[in-house]
Amino acid sequence: MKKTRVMIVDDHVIVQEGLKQLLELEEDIEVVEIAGSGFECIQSLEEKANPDIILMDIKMKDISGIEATKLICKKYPNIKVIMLTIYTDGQYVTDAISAGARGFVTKDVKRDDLIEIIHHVMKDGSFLDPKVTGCIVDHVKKGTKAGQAVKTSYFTYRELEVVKELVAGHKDDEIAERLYLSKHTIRSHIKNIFRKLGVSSRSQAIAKVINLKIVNPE
Amino acid sequence: MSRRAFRDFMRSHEKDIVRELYDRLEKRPYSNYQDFFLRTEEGLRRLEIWVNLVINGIGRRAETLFRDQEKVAYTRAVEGFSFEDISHVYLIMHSILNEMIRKAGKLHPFHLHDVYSEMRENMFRGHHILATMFLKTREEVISEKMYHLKSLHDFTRTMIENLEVDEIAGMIMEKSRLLLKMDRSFMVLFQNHRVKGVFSHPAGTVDDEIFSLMERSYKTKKALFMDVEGTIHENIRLSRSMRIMAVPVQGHNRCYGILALLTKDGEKGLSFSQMDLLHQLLNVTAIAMENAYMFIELEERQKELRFLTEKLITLQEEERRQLAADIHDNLAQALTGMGYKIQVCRELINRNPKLLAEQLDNLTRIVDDATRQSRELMSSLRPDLLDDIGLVAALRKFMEHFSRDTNIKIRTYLPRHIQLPPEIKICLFRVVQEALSNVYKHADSKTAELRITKTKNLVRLTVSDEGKGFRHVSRPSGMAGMNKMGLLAMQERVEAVGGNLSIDSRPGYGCRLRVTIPIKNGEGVE
Repeated sequence: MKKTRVMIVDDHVIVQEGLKQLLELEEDIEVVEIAGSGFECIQSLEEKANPDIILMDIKMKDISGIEATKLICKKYPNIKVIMLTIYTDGQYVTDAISAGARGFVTKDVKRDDLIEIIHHVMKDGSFLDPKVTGCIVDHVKKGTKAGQAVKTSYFTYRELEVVKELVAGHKDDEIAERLYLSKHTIRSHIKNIFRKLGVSSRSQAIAKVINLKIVNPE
Repeated sequence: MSRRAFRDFMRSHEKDIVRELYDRLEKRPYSNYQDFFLRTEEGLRRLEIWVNLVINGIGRRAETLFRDQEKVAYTRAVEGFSFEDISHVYLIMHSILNEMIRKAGKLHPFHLHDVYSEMRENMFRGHHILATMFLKTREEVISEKMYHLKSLHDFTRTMIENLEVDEIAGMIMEKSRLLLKMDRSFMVLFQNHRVKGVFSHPAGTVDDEIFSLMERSYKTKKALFMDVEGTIHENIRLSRSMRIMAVPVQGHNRCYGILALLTKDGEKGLSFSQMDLLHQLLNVTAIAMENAYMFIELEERQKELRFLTEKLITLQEEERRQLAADIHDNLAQALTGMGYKIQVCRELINRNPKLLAEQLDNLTRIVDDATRQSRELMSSLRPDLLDDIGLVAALRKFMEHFSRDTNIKIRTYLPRHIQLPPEIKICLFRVVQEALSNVYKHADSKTAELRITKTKNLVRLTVSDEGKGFRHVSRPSGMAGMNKMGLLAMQERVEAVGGNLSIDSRPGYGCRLRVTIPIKNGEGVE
């Protein structure tokens, strides 16, 4: 029988470890990849990783889980993303769903349930943790529109790389050097980033990506 | 007896007449006007002149007497004497002259009637001229006073409603210029003994001679008048007329500014009542300025308070956010991981007991780590260190970390042990934290100095550096840049325990922050 290939994305080693051990007790589940941040996750997908399921934390250093999910769902439509987080905020849930996540599960999930959810999502199902349904109902009732974070179109891997560099405060030529790209290419990426964010300056762009929680500044 | 013989007779008795007049005037109760004759040299001289003029007018048209009476009437009316009193003196004089005429008639037979009626007519005519002039002048004085009163009233009303210092200055400049019919007006405003504003109406530059007269007026706090020759007088009466005048606008112990007025066409005289009105206008101006400054200060205070409140709220929010992040990052994640591990262990009980033991050991380490983290989280919320090891030791420990992290060497002058109430200990600890963090962030200094001394009633703290310093301002709210928020929060903290914080800095000369906190009796003893 083909094993379900799972990738864990979380910035805490204890969680990574515990989750890996917990899942690998199951014969038909294999943890094939572990990433410590949204960006690391995209990076390893770019390189080689090919999981069936990604268990994705939301709040992590650098690129947020939701932003990473947006890109993954567009670029790798076969990979199914399940958010696994401490937060039960309605905004996160709707943002995650809009980004393309197939499941939203809180971290205190029990082993049997988690395994069942993974199987369910593998069969093209979706799952929302009962703990967050109340929040979503409230959120929709309040009339809050789908999260701002998803109003902007998603960023490509390269663009996310440049966004990270922008937030870190690097200049164009520094970014070019760090990413082994030409200054010209960097400029065109930055232009695209501005357009997607609807801003016209570096500082506005930085403020907006931090405000939208796309990037978590160090 | 001829008119000439009569005149000679009267002349030979001139001194007797004056003396007689003087004696009669002395009879009580006497009026202000009598008082003027009796008590002042000018009054006595006036009596002599008057008697002299009456006698000289005997037998001719007494033009000199008439002109004199006209002048006297104007002066007395302006000076505010009553017409009734003046007439009373006139009647006394009249009766004395009558007696003298009778006396002369007994000694020398002459045509008494002609001489008498001529002299009486001169006297009557003189008195008539005096009366007419007096009333006319009085009317003028009254209407002038009414005009002044009205302008003072209008001025006061618009003035006290105004809270803009510049506008108040503009109003007094315009008003005084019109009132004294001068050509240009100037105002220099002072604040904390520094020139705060210079105004000219009509717009233009202030000439050096005007400015120096204003400066002198500011130094002496007196009105000064400069005549065409450039001589400066303190009294308009001495200078009689003037070209430039400078007057201070002053209230309670404070001079707000100097008003100056200039006339282009040579010199100008000022009447007593004009000066009087000007002074009253200046008094009103000073009150209006005082109000305006008080209002500004109040507004500043309020702004500062608002700013501080906002800052405190942000600080609190920031602290909470940080705390939530810390809990999420450390404790919640650790608990989550442990939860997974426990579930793993549960599965391992039957499947692999050897691996279970390993997992449990691993779990114990994680629990220990989490316990340590939670302890650290707690102590960052409140520096227990202060209670446990005392202020001096806590400061030393803090500075050790600070020096290691920032490479800034700190010279310390601390007592070996210091007994203080807990709230003062916390205050001093936080001030040192903030002050040193400012040194690191802004001063660009490789060294700093910390000094704490305590007397029976006072604890003193000084943090100084030899860094780049900044422009000194009296209150932190006036400072530009980031560190003012920190300074403001420090100031608030120190004032909350009844202390006082001052900052002494100049660009290029480092910064010295001083805190003094009084200690109530017995509080220092634990």
